[in-house]
Amino acid sequence: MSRDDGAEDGLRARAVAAWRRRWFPEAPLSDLAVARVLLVAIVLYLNGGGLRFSMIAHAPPIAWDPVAPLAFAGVEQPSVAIMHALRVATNAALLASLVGLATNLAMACAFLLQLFQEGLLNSFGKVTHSTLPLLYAMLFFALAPCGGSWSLDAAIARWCKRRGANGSRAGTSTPPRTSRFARWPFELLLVELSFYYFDAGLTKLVTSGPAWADGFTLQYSLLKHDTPVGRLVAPHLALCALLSAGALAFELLFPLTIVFRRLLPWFLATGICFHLGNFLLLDLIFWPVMAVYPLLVPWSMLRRRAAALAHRYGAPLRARLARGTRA
Amino acid sequence: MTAREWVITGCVAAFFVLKLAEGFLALEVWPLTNVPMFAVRQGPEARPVRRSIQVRRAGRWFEMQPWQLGLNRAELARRLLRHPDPGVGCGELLRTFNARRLRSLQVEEAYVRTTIVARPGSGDTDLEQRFACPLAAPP
Repeated sequence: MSRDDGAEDGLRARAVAAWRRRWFPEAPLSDLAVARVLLVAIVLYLNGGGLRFSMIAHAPPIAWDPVAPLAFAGVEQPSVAIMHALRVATNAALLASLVGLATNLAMACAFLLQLFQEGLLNSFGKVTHSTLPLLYAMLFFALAPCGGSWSLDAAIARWCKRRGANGSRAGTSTPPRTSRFARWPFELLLVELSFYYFDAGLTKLVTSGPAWADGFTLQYSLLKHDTPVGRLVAPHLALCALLSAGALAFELLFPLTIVFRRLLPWFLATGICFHLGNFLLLDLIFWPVMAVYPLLVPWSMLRRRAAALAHRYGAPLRARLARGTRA
Repeated sequence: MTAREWVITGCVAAFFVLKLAEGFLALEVWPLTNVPMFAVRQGPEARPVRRSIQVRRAGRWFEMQPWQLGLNRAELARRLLRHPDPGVGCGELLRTFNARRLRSLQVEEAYVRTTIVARPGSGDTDLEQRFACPLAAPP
């Protein structure tokens, strides 16, 4: 083996090790569990108990214009009875995912049902994309061990193990609290969110060039949507240009968070301002995109930091309080 | 790397490729998207147009909201834009609306009001147009 081959092997080994550290570290299952509960709660709220999809059956048939996959499959506008059945099935799958009963299967069913109904909802002439990151989150979580903690699955597994231990004095080990497969769904969700914004920025540049940010396009949208805040901003072209350039920069630079993780909180904070700004200026609320943000929060790390802070500042405070009480 | 790690790595790589393809090849077939909202530049010469459906029911005129027709704002705008005369699309929607309601709740008369908005500082003024919505089915 030559020296070059050895160096190449070493480089490859380091790359594989770095990849594994990033995507497959031992990570707490509780993070995945918190995110699962949050995700299901968000989707249940989004669906409004199924009311969101109920308009599908009531919309005028002349407006039916199925999206390509549904048209290819020959799906027609569903009846009230079909939508009712879909609602019941979706709610059951989501609730099972929430409590962690047959978690992966339930999440997979919820994802497929949600995907189908989102397709139906987009089959009336206007396609919206705001719920796509949430759909991807459901898919990733369905494929990850998201029922390993805070779930009936985990409780049942513990109970079975204890029962086995009582009977045979064997298998006394506690269920794992971490997994090497508990991190990748978050990493992939960040990739999805990053490219969601990046593609929006890229499409603007490819379609219109840098002139997109000259302020005239935003002014046009502000005048069209005619919101109270938009009316204040629209006459000031320089301000429109500044806001456009800021939005474009935010969208194009978001993928930096995949590499430089320290930037993520800043970009998420900017994202909240971006979406709230869109709401105030254009009456557009893409809240399902913002709803993905809390799924990316490392909850166990926050808990550890909060505990460390409580330990650091709590003990002196308790001592001071105790001295005050004695005095 | 374990077999499971290799499988997930393969899926991650495929996902990266898909996301890049969505953006660079401008794939826009739901659920794939390059998120094209607001991507088209509107120069200073482009004037925004606001559209609303005004209806008379039980002798009273009011603006019909998109949700009353079972659509959202964007879907309604799209529907009205399908024909050069927005009254045609409006008539189709309102005939369906009337067919599903008791006579006393039906729309008696309607028109689409379009307002072509002037850009600030252009010296132009807003231009309003009305397009009647035919409530009787075309022969």
